[in-house]
Amino acid sequence: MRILRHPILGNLDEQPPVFIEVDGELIPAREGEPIAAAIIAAGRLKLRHTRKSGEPRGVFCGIGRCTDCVMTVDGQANVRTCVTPVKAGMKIVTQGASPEREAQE
Amino acid sequence: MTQSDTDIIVIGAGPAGLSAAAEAARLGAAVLVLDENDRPGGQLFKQIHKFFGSKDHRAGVRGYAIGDSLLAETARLGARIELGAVVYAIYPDRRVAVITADQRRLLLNPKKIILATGASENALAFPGCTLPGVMSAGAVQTMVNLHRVLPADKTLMVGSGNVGLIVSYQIRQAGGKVAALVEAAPVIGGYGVHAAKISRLGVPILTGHTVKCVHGTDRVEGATLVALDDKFRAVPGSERDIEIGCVAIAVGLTPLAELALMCGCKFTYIPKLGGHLPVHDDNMETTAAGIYVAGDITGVEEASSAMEEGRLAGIAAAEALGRVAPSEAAVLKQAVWARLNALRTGRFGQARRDAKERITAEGRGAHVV
Amino acid sequence: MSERTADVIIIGGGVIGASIAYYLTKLGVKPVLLERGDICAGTSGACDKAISMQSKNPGLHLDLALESSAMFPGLGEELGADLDYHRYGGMIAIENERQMAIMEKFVERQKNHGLPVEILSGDEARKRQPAFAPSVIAATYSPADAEVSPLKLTFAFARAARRGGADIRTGAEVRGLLTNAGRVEGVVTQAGEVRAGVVVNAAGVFAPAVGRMAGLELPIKPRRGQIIVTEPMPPMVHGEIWSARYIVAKYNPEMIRSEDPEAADLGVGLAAGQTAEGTLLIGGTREFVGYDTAVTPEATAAVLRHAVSILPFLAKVHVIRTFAGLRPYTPDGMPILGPVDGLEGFVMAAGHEGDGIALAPITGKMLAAYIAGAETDKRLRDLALSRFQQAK
Repeated sequence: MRILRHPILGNLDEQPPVFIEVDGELIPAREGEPIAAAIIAAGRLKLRHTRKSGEPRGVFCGIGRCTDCVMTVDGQANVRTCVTPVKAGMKIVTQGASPEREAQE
Repeated sequence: MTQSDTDIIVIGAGPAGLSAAAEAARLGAAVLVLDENDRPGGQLFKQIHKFFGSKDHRAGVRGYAIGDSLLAETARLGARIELGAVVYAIYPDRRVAVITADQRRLLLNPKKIILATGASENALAFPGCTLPGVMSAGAVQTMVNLHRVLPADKTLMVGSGNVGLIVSYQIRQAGGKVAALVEAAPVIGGYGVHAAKISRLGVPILTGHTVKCVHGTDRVEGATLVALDDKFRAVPGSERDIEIGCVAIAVGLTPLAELALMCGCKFTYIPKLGGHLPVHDDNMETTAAGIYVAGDITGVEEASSAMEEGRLAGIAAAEALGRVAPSEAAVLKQAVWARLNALRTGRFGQARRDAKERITAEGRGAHVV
Repeated sequence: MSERTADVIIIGGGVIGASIAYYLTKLGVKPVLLERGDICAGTSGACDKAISMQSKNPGLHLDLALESSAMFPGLGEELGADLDYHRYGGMIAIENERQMAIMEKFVERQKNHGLPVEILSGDEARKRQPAFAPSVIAATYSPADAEVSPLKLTFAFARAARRGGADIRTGAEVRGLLTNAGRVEGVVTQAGEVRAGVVVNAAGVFAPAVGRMAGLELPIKPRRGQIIVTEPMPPMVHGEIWSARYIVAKYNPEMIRSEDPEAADLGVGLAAGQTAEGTLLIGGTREFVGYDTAVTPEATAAVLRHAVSILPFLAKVHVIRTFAGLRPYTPDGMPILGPVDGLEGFVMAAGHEGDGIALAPITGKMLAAYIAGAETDKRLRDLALSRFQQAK
């Protein structure tokens, strides 16, 4: 959720949101913030599934080191969403084996 | 970015790197700072608390304000900063390989290199530690203070060092709840004044406790805490469940020293400072001649000492290039050392100073070309 | 200072030394293996995963490779380990008519030596390997090429040898050879002497140093190969891929010069394959730079330039790591195996260049049989050090 008021940092400026598409769903974002921040603000912590067992993963380090937050962004796989800035209209897709597919196999 | 006329490349635009760049540029060196992030300042801009120490160390000033003034200083002195620039290698002949923000590949040939790459936070293993919502405390801090995003209503903080205490407070400032702060040791690790602040806000600080496991399917939904005896063994029957949506892990940092390894620097192992560290001399120069280090890469401390180490490395590198007379440089370096030593006093500081002296003792006069 | 006696001493804990140790234990001989560093810490731990048949010269070289290849399918079970062994086949991409002329002849000779291999048209090749660039005019295909994890293979040999009674010692550096009246009597290590009537030189690129302890000049030179590792991705290539330039670089690097002078200097050819983890290993170079294991930006760029020309999707893939290994080169591309004239008990097992993984089973089996006195493979005569000494 967004922190609108803050005793030190003041009110969040009201810049108009841009929209990005995450797994087909449009979510609002602040241009230039990391993709992961926008997705977490929208209430979703899971950013990928592991490749083999389909376990959920989200941001851990937040500085581009651990790569647990990677997603496919505009067709480019393994983009670190914790350090990649939002641009309006980005298409973002969750990577990895989905648990449903694992279950079928 | 061109490779001509670069005397010094500084890798990392955090407090140490910017300070190094400012000092070297002030003395007339042509300095280029490279940072893989799209904004400079490292972790300063998420630090909304006032710094400790004396007036010399900008005590009472908030971290982001220190970042602003460092950036202004660096710019005024003419050091260039290239953002979105990933340094992926330093070759044995000291060429620095970079991928720029626009995906160009560059090979730069500086006369000196200053590594100020910082540190990354440690993870902690427990069942459920990979669930979305288990994050490093620094990542939570970045989300909350920089991006104005609260990962969850209620957070469990693990670790009572200054990072755990300060981030707990900042989660509260941002309107979030901290269900508990657990600390495996029998005593609080960080400053008493930080602990007192969050205690007053009603955050339970549970020393001698740890997180036994975290549950949830697609995200953190709750955690089981457990008491530990004096041998750090779980006390049977002491488990209790809490409902939370985020677990912040504040159990120390490890220096990001890969580039120093790549340069063939000699390392030493000092757990108190974060583990494997490149040794350096009183000029912050490693055993690989012409490669300097500053900040958390030399041992995890805090921004204040990182900035002083950066200044030291900047002066020393400029001196080695003949930009400043040795007599003048000696005076400058002595002033920095005086400030550094003042920072390394007291309950926490003295132990760091002793550890740092082990590093410099190993690093003195050990250059290899 | 400990002194002990063994039947056989093997110097070197790479895939060759470990294989010989294992096959010796199968014949009831319990060797001592001395490794200066760690098991699989040298050449065997710094290579790709291909068990290539198609890159072998028709003749003894290919014969040995095919025999070795036939030993791989049951090897995992025999050693009690998963080796990541798969036989997915391999393809060599041909980019121009000049390469086509060379490959046609090469393939014809390979066929005559019993290798199942054919040349596919560009379109047929792309049907089998959609990642190939439109500029690939044709490609060979052989179902005989396979892959294995070199690390798992080497460790599996070493563990099985240990179970069979071999004494495998790491951190044990051989500093001298004990000889007497033209006979080997053992070695000197930093921890004392070890005595044995047979000493096997399986020290790979460091075999010449061991040879000098015996007063031998071995024509083995370290040849550096740089390899690039990509990020993991879904399956993009099937089986093993080489470029015709790789084959040319192996046997006659000068022929590449008119196409790309820098690539000729570095001996660049493409050898690529995707691991079970999804990363792509992309080789490589063939460079004579002594024992320098550094990677260089020039080689990374030249290898990737060549790789992208054959596999264009690589242009958008992240590289996560590069590394280099030293291959034990010999002038005729064949290993030096077996006894050495004038020094009884000294046995050579080195000089496999890039074929060590593929030839490890047959090398171990042949040399173990020879050492145990079970049988002497007649082919060892053609692989002996004496072939170079006679030429002098």
